[in-house]
Amino acid sequence: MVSMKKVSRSKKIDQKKGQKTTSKNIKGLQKSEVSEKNVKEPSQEITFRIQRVIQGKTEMRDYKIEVGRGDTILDCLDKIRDDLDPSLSFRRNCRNTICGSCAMTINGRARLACKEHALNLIDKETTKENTKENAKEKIITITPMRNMPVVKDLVNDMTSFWNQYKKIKPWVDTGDKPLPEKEFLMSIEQFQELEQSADCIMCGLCYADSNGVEAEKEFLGPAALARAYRLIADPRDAKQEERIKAVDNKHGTWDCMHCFYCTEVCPVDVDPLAQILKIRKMAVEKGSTKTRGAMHHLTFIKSVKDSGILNENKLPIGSIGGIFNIVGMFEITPVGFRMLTHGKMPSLIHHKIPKIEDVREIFNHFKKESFKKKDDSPVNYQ
Amino acid sequence: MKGYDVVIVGGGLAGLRAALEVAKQTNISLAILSKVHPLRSHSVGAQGGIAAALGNVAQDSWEDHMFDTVKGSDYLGDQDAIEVLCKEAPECIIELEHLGVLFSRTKEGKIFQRNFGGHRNPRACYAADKTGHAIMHELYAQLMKYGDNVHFYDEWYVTDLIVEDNLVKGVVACSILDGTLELFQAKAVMLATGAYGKCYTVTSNDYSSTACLPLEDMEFVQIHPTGIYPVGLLVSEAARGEGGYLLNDKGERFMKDYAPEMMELAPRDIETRAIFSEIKAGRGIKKGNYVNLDLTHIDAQRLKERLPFILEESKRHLNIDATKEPIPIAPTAHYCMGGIPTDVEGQVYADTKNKVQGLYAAGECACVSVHGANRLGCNSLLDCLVFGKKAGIAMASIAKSIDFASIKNNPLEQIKKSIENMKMRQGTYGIASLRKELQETMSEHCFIVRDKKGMLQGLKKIAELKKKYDAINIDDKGNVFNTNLIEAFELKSLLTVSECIVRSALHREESRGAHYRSDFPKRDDQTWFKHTFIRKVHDEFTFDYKPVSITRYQPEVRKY
Amino acid sequence: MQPKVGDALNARSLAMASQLGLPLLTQCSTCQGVFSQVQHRLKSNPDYLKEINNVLQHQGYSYNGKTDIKHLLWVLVNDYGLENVQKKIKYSLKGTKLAAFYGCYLLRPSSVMQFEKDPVHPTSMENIFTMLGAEPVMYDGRTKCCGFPISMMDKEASFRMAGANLLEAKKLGADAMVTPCPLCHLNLDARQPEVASFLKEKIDMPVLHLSQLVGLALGVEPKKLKLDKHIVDTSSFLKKFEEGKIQK
Repeated sequence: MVSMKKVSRSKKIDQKKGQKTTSKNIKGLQKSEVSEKNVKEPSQEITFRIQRVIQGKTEMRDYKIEVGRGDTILDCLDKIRDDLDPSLSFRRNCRNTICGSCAMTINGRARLACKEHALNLIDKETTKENTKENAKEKIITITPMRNMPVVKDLVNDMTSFWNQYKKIKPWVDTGDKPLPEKEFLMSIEQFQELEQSADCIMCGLCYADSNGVEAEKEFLGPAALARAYRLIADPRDAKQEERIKAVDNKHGTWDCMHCFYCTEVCPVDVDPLAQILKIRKMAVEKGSTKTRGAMHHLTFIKSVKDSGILNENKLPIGSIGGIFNIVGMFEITPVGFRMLTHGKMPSLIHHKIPKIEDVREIFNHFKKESFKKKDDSPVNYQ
Repeated sequence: MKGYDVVIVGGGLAGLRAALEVAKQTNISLAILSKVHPLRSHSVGAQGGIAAALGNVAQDSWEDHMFDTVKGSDYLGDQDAIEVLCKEAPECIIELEHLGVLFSRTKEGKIFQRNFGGHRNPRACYAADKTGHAIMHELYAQLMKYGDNVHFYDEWYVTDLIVEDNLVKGVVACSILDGTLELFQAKAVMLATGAYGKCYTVTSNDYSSTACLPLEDMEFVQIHPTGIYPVGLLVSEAARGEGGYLLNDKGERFMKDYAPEMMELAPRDIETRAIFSEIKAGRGIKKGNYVNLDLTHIDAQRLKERLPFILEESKRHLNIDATKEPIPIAPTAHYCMGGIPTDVEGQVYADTKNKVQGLYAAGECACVSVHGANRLGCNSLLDCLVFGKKAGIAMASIAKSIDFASIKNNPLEQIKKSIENMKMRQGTYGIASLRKELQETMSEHCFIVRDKKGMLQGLKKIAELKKKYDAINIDDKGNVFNTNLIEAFELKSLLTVSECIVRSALHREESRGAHYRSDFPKRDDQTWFKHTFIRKVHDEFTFDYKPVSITRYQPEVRKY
Repeated sequence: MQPKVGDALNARSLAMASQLGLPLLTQCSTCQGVFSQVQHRLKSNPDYLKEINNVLQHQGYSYNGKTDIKHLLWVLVNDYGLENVQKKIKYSLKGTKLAAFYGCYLLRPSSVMQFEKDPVHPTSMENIFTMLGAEPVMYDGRTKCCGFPISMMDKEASFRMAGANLLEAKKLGADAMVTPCPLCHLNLDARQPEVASFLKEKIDMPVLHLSQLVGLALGVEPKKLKLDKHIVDTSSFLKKFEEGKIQK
């Protein structure tokens, strides 16, 4: 279809750049090592299967273009829009994973178009299109982000995402703290603790692939919670307790399913799940015991401490606040009853493991230690 | 028609900083119109830092900062404005810190400061190498505090500015989301629209950078020395601030021949021309069109702390581990020193003497002028903050003191009609191909080194492109998120701005700062120690001049 | 309460395995996930391993960080090998359509789990299905969360999550869902009646643990595999299995 000579657009620009910009006046132009490295590998014809909204109707359309090794998905989309279909709409801006505009679903996963290289996806990914036997085409599928309505083509309406961000009062609030004449002093360690969550570019990828958001639209979502942690941990902020309280509830941190998608799709390594778990930990440490999450957490620990293993019968009861929580008991009774009748109920006699004292000793060791110094242990995901 | 006391066009750093000043006042209605969500603005891409003489790491003073900036500007910067910039810098940084911006810290817990090109003292406050991002995200968050009193119109493209009898009355904008055209009446309007890097093929700028009153010093376009080769994306000067070397094919730190004292930390115009000369002399790597930026001698842990983004960027684009291999770099279009002329309060000039009532500008689109013929690294974020804040204060006071002026000629219907015509016309030229031709023209005829012959060719080509523009085709006929149409608007602005650049460059027959003429290679203070104002009236361009303000430092020969 | 406690407890179990000189086999994605993450933390930080060992030494354990931790799925695919499994198969599962439900912890975080060549589009379960003669059903939900972790905190959301996955598989014609994780199994099977009534949908999707599926193919009696103890009746699936089963 297209001759080998016709390398992808970005390649052409690359070469042109050499000629046109730095070196219009340079005689005897030679190909540089870098462009050789990039151009050496022949380009490949790739089909981009893109979700379009055409006159109100949603459909998939195929676009075939030549793609070179260095081309990002964004380069490819630009090429498709420039050369094949100028009516294709998508957001994009910085080309450098810092503005967060080009968030979309690429091969079924929320990603930034400027961060992914098309041929790397072709090489690595086993999508159902590409694993079909005798697949004649190499296909990359691009659809808008999930969990948010679509405006057109690859453009989402991100209102809900921004609303969750606004809900957590996203600004640093020094409250009544007197402002020093110069900067607030902040240790390098404090800066480093904040850096990861503050790196968030608000692209919305985590929100798009979050299973928690999929199941519950009221859930604050990973980005807003990561932002909440960034504020809670900021020594300049005066509202730590209020902030923790504001997210220590069902649709706050406790709607998080630990699906790990946020951490997996984040393009700038914010690890939102880790930030969420840090808030939960702080909430429990600060004495939050009333949320279902905190109760579950505490019962879990108690069971392990008491017997060395999990008492699966007590856990659900503990999680809903003990047997005096009548409403809660009704919620879990059906499943327990069903399991009992199907012979699936865990043994009601809960045995202790041998050497339970070893387990307790481990607990005690860290309990003593935590009195001595701040717990700096890594975040445990479960 | 919507009415706001203050309308700010652009949600980047200058716009948001001004907005914060306005928002602090009660009973002023404020709208921020931005063609992208504010946090997608290119200010978030600023990497290296922001200059202020805090003296946290070594002795420093605002006077030192001022001298460096004046010298860096090749003496074309206005010294009254530069004095304001440098004097107010420390306060601006401290304000940001109090607003929650995360700056990298010294052992004592103070804001860390590193070296930067053209600054003799470590003066760049930074947040790793994501300084713009760190500032923008906190400023935007602070604006959330004011709730609905600050009305954001995200993804609205401003098509027209309404000025009648030298008084600003509002703007016309188009919602990208659904195509609605709306007139925003205002008592004060601020232009904080950024720049026009997209005139060039290789640029470190993003896609949104396009801007149009008289324009000052348009010939001065900063070509950043270190763009990742070949994509052109920026490798921050912070890389050299942290001790990075520029090496040619022989492995020499060639800057010793161009700036023996400052070496890699000379101002950008000098670094860029040095790289250009090396490549031209066949000393590019493997005789190619790039040189190396070498960080490998710097402790890897330090690089990971100070320059994480650059490491990630090199990995992502070139599959290079910059702690172990040098980064190939070549100059890339980066910043425009010129722009909409303003005074030190941010108010826009209608000509070299009179100003437009109620109209303000700040940031890259404006020309105060603090950067003169060449901007120093870390002074652009500062420019946005200092003059953005001033514009905000001025607009807030206008909003309180005057009433809305009635608009005599409502242009809405006419604009609506012309957009419809543009969409419905069966054109022959695609926007992308015209834009590419324009970029190639500008890169070929008005880049690092310029001459009369080349620029005349460039102008001829631009004239052709303008004709072709009248026959462009808009494929997308719809109203919803019609980026095709928006790009057509942008292309028109790019054509106008490009022509201004080339005409201004052709007009200035000397070499100064970023403007280098091979046919006039010397600075000529006798004739050209002045600002140029270019103005387009119908299809004619006229020039005017404004003297440079000198308060402290007389022009000298510039050596580094 | 403190992650270190959890890490130390898990390190203790890993040390026990290492004393026996054996790799650790899990049949639960969550266990696999927790162990893998602990292992990752201990391996990537020698100082941390030392700290944990300081606690364990009182009890006579010392963990060298080297215990292999493998899920049944991985062992079948990588260690034992699908070809060898195939040799032992007694019955083909021909005619059945199966929906894999990977869940979260076997796949993510992929930087730690590193089993599937492509963690976005895993293939190991489907490869087993194909090898057993069944037809895999490809659907979005197969790599999502089952909803179990929040079943105590937000029951409705948990039900919506489980329901969406079950219904998607059903819509695409799956005869049964197969999961490598007992917790996924709990939410998808034991809570299915509640999920169905909450969503006002008829689901009736049998859910099998991976070991039960392989067991069937190896000729183990359904009763012995406790397929009669499921909350959701498995007989529709077993009927299909019986109809299509060809002795190999």
